[in-house]
Amino acid sequence: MQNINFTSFFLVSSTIVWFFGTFINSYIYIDAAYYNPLSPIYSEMFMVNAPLNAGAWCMNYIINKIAWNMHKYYHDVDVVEESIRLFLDVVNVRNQKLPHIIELDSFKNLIHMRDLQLDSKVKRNVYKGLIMATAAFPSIEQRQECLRHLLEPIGQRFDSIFMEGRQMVHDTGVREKILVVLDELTGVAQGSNGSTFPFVYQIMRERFRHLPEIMLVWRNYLDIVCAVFKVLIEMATIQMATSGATEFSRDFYEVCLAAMRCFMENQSQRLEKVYGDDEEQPEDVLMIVELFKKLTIQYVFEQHGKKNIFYSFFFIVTNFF
Amino acid sequence: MIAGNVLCMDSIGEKPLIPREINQLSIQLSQEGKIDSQTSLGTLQMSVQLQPPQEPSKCDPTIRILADVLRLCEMENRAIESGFGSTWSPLGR
Repeated sequence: MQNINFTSFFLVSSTIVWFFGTFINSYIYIDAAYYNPLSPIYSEMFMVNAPLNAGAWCMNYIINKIAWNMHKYYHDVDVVEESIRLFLDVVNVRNQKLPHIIELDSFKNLIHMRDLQLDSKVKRNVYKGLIMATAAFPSIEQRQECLRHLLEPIGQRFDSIFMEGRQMVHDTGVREKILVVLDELTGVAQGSNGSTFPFVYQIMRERFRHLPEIMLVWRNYLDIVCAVFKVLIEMATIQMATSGATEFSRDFYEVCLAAMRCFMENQSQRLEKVYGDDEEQPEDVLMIVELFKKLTIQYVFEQHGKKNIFYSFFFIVTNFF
Repeated sequence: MIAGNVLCMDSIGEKPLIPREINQLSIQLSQEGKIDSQTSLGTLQMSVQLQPPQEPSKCDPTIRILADVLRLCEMENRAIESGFGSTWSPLGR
């Protein structure tokens, strides 16, 4: 009976968050142009710059609720996932809420979510949302300052674990720490876009250059190999051509090639295996193909010459056979 | 969940809007002088203080539902903070 009690409790909590997300999308900071006409009640309460400013009041309460849920419900997957989903909806520039909430105190306090002890996949989404949110800052200096504030702790953790880990390759605790920091990097990559890519890469450049080495040192641990590929794939998804940062793009391209070469060179000892079970897919192989696909559609790499990438392709294919 | 699905439209791939019927109801009640925005805002603000609304009949129906959800949310917060989370659901008795 105690279990049923808590199940209902968390169901209520996650449903409340779902309701807030649904309500925000339809009612908060609405555009009267879509209605003919809009009710004067909603116009005075919820439009942008409405006289009663109820939209800001509601957003303040709901954002505080997101932060509160993350602190109190960190152990409950459903409530945390629903709260993160709401957070990502709020910071998504397509939903057009972000410019209106960036100055709210409750929004500034959301940055403390990164300090919570959360599941690594949840942490990934936290960083994704925080990086996405930096797009709302009106000035480049503010955006870069916020990005630096978010990224430098990740970089320092990466450096510390990388130095320590090479001495204790097979230690479980070290491997877990590496996975955590790679998950955070994945979140950063997922939240980045063409405009934030140059600054993100500038700060994290050295850590990206270490990724092939991580793949070499921990080559026998599939989870770490896949986590490295995941970071590179998410980063390669960014439209780097729009960023104008050609030098950084080429640097990243070289990192990807080095990672792919490192992976393939360590496959010569791989035993043949028949994958009969649908659930048991060669995840690492699928990921390297995915990374290769992402790299070939990046227009900026045309400058570097398509020859290099096709030589890499043939290198990969011949190693498979 | 029922409130959320009644007050809002399913909008995958489209811009989410207030349902036409709800918007028209609010317009009609406002024109008849039965509701006003000041009372509606006051209802919202009092809901998170767990105080009863002063003139619930003058509050927009949609805002009343939002206020009820906010009140439920605030009760949940205070229950957790006070350590009464285990008594939150009547199914536990």
